[in-house]
Amino acid sequence: MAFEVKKIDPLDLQPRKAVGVQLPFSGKSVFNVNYTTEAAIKTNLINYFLTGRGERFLNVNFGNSLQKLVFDQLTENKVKEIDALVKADLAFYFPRVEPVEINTLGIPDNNTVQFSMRYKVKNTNIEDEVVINFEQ
Amino acid sequence: MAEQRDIKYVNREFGDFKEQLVEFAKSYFPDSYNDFNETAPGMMFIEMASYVGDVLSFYQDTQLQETFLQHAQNPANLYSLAYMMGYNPRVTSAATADILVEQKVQALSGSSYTPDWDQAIKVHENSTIKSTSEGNSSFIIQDTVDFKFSSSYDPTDIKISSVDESNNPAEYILSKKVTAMSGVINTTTSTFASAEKFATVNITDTNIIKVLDVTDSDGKTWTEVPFLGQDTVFDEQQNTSTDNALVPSLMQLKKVPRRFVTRFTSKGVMQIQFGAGIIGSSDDQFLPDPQNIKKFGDKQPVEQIDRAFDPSNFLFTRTYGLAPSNTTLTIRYLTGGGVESNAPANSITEKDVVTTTATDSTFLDTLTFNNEKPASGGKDGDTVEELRQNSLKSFSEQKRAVTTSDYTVRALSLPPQFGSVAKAFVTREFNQNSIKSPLDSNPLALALYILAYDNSGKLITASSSLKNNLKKYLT
Repeated sequence: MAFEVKKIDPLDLQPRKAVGVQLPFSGKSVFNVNYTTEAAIKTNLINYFLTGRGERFLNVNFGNSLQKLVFDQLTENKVKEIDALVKADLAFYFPRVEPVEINTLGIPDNNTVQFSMRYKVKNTNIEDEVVINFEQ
Repeated sequence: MAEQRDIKYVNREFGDFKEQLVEFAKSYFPDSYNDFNETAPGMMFIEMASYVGDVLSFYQDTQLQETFLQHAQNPANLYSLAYMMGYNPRVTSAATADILVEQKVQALSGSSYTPDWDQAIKVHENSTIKSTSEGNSSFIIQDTVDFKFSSSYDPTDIKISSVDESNNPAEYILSKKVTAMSGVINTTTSTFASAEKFATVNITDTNIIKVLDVTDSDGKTWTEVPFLGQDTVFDEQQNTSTDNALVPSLMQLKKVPRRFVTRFTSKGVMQIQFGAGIIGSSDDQFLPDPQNIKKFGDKQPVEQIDRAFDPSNFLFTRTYGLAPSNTTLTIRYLTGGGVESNAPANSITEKDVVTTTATDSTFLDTLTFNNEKPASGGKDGDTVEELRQNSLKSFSEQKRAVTTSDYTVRALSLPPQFGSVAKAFVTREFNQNSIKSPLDSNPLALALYILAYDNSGKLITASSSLKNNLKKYLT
């Protein structure tokens, strides 16, 4: 019987080797670092979704326009638009990340929109969720 | 136009820095950082560092570009480079015109008819006349016009103006030609208390052509020099020897401890800078005497080889001229010029401020001025490109004589009041009849052979005054 081969990143087999910088930037010395690819992917997703397009110096195409969209009228069409946008961005910047569920929830009392996405990473056992609160 | 050249001193831009920082992190921090994905926060910091590197690289390229005269774009830098190359930028250029100055005098009868020289007028220097054309540009006559004086280089033409019943001359017209320069004379003062080394005065005015003169409270004149290290200027003195008809003036080298230099900023402000010397302190008190510098006290010269001489001793003496102190300087300077000062022919006829003297002033009203040809040379200030090209030209000239041709040109450019050099020939081959060739003692010696003109324009051998003037002019 065929079975799906699960891959483990070599970095995950070396627990003393750091992968990347961990969010938030609140390390005792400079930064906290993460030691697993799972944590690194989550950090990267948060970093990507919190970066507006045009924010990065000399890398103006990096980032997304999620912050602008989430504060539009959250109609059914707008939700679909956000969904399509997130999927297109993920396909380009995170080709191995598959979104499982994307939710955009408005909390008018706090002037906040909560964006959440459950995802899994292809060919691995990694499944996780990012939740980002956009405040106006 | 500036040579289009993309200067890349470091030759690294954002992408190069980013790539090299990634390689650096991979090489030196393999255990600390491994996520080189574009979305990683760590990459954000690498990109920010690359951005800083890119900006610094850009500034470095710009700085380097601004150090080359061919590529510099900033006017302030171009001005600095121009002065470094020996070119004095102009913020405006004055027009010059040949003015025909005429007056009538009565004829005196005697053994022959001659003009009454008592009625000859002397028009003093710095008299001003005006153009009647649009703009009414003022023109300044810088040299004295003395109808009584006539020489080969400054002749007075005499024509009969009218005759009496017997057909004998009744009136003569005396005429002289003089050069006038467009501009207006302005005056400003600057007060100095205690002496300040290399004090600088700014004259903020538009279209400044040049400084005419600077006089202090004691009536002493301060002289403009090309650079403060030059302590002598050419001075003109009347030649009283027998050859004064051919060589009216003698050239002298005059020491000018009171001197200054001028320069323009890119904003058109004229800066006048003075020297560092202080009156009352003798130079030799702290300036080593070159005659005995080889020996100090009872020590022999050989013991002084390792002795250091402080170069600042040489800096704060009168070497760079005196610094003005406890005085008020009156600075007269010329403004004007520009394209509009190129007055058309026969338009510079109006008297403005004309100072005259005459023994007999009967015919003072007959004094007329006219330019038979249009004034020319008036031009607005140097454009950026003119500044660049003139500086490059000036650098190649270097204001020095190197080749034999340079000496020929220099000899032929002797101002006419010091005698006129008609022909000049420079060679290293000396007259074989000379008992001892100068080449024996100086292998770099040159022989300069000249001929001069007499009053009728014929070639003659040069007088000793002319040769002495030329000798000083070439030094």
